Amino acid sequence: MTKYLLLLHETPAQYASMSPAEMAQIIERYSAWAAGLAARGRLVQGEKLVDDGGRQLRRGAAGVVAMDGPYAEAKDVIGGFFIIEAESHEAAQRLADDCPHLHGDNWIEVRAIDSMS
Amino acid sequence: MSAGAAATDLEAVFRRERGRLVAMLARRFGLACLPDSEDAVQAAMVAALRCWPFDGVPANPAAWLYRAAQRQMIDQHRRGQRFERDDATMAEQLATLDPPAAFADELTDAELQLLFALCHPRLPLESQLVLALHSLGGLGLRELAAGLLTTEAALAQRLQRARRQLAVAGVMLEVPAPEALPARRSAVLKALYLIFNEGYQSAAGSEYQRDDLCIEALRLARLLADHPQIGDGETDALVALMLLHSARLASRIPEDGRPLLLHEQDRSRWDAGLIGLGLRYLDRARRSATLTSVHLQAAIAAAHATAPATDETDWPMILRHYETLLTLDRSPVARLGHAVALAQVQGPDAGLDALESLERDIGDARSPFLSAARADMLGRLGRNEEAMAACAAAIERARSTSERRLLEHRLATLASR
Repeated sequence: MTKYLLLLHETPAQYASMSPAEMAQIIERYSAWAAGLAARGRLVQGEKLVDDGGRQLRRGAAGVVAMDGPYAEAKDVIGGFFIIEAESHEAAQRLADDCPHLHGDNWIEVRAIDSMS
Repeated sequence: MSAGAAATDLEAVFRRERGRLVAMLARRFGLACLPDSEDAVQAAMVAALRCWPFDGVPANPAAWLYRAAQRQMIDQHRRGQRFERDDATMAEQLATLDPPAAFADELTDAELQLLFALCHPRLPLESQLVLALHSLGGLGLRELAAGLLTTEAALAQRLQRARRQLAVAGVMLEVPAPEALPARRSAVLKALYLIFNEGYQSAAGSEYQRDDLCIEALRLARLLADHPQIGDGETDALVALMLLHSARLASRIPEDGRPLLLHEQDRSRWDAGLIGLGLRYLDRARRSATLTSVHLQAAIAAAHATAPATDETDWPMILRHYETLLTLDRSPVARLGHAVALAQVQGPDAGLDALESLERDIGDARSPFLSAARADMLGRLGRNEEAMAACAAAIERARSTSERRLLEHRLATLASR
């Protein structure tokens, strides 16, 4: 079993015009999806990231430079992540396929976590 | 609980809480802050959309949304572009915003005040409906635009204009004073009635009925009817009418999607709970000093809802109700219903005569119902050719694809005779 990181990319601005019913439906689908993964012992962890207040660090000639970002207004931000377990990349992708995050402009980056075994 | 039931529950919470939260914030900060209140509530719901998938749905979703909306209001204030109030006033007002449980009555009042403000006679009726559905009914712009056959952008503009009109007219957030209440209440009832009708007999798009509109109109009407100062017999009657019709919502659309007419519906699928509640409201509607057209429409709906089978319907009583109704309301809809009842009691010829006089008066009306009723009566007289022509005329006027399917099925039935 390998662990896979699902990075949830999104455009927060698209939620502005969503109706209460649409939002409720997505939340419900999410609950069902996460519960299904957990029941099969595939869900390791899931966390939401805080939108604002992020810092980007780089080492320059004069030492480490910190910049603010990314901003919630950005076109593409990572809103959160899941870590799941699967036999193969294909299997991980199938588990992510029906993730309710995939609507509108949202996309998911699936990356295997290198276990160095 | 099945996932489907849970989804409906959360949807209901979101729709209901949207209206309640907007009402509460608008009450605190004034009608001028209505757009800000709506933005804050929308942002709170987006926050829920982005947090709950990870944290799970909280035990009390409403309280969570209240706190989030409150934070959004503070954030908007801090960003400084939205309010021209001093910090102290703002902080003081926000400090009095508490979780919903303690303020249940106040919340209801806030919603009703907003309902009265939005259904203000100074606004065009269409703006009243859009405002009430969007701000209080918790319907999104996209849903509304689809239903009203317009674009989201056009609808947003109309909303903005309506809100400006409210501000210019100096409309206050309040339950009207006793002397002004009857007139204002009947404006609100009219708006709710139209919203319910649009849901029950959707004029636009591909859907035959829109349960969400029916549910929201019913919810708001019940708030009015059950309020000790505002409720009256006519409001009870409207709630009864809505409940008795809502009881049939589920049985009208079977699996294959062709809507079923009253006599084709499986009566065992009618919601007995809603019918019982409707009859209780109809009973309470007698507290009214005057008999209104809504009372009579509710009584007619009750006669249909309590008939054990189609051929056991008490048509003579329904006809008497329609005759009384016509003394109060000469609208084409009332006259059409009367003609149908007449055909049942005195025979199709009498019904056709009534339809003809109606057609002479209203000219080339766009509604498909008149031609459909004519087709029905002609069919019963064995005048199939004419019935088919009337049915074809009705199909031309069908307003939704499912209405069209229903009429095409009737045409096929006539053709196969």
